[in-house]
Amino acid sequence: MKITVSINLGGYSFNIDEDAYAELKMYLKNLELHFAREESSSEILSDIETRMAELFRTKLTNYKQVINIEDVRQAISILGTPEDISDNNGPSARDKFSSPGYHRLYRDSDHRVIGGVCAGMAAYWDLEIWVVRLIFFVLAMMGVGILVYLILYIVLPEAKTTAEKIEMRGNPVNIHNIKDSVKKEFDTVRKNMKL
Amino acid sequence: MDLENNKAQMRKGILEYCILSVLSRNSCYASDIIKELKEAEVIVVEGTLYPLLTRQKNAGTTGPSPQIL
Repeated sequence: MKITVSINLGGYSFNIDEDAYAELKMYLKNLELHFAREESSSEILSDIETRMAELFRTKLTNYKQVINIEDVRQAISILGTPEDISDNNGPSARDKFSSPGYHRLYRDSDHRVIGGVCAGMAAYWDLEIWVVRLIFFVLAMMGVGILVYLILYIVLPEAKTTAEKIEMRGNPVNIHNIKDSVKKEFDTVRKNMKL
Repeated sequence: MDLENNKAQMRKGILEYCILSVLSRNSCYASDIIKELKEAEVIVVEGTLYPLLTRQKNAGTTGPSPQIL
């Protein structure tokens, strides 16, 4: 017996084994990173997701209603890993990305109270969040903090993708770090399901 | 290393013409293009094609066809 997860892939809903879900998620994150510097990366990814959904639908019958890890691996071998794709694609986004110390200031909406500006700065300089918040609070009392906050809120982009979140913390974006953060996310999902 | 890179770049350049040449005969779905290119052993994995198609669509060289839609 296995736990299954329900996902929406390319507009179709699938029931997928837990381990297969982890594998699929990792694969899609890797692709996302691979195309991160591409102009229309979201469009490319959604095309690939649609194709993935097509491949999955051919695997389902009345007697087999859940996608397992074998199906995911097969679909990945048909679509190709980022390494396979970049072979035909010249220098890829990853080369630019993985330069050590790629470090940018983002808004961290995962730990936000208002807009994630303080959380983003805390992640960037590796400070405790409450220290940054205290500084902003004092600045606000002095009358400039709110304006500064507003300007930063407008200027700083939000860290949306895994790659951006890793950049925000100043870790080099590589497969190892992505694996870590995907695993963290996956563990949270699993914990939530058990509750 | 350099040679490998050059080869990869050439393949990439040719691939775009392959897509156009498949489409010049008939409009077809992305999956049909993939099938044809796979049979001809021009591409190995399908993922290679999607970024190219998106790029071509944005450049206006290919696009959705009213007959298929």
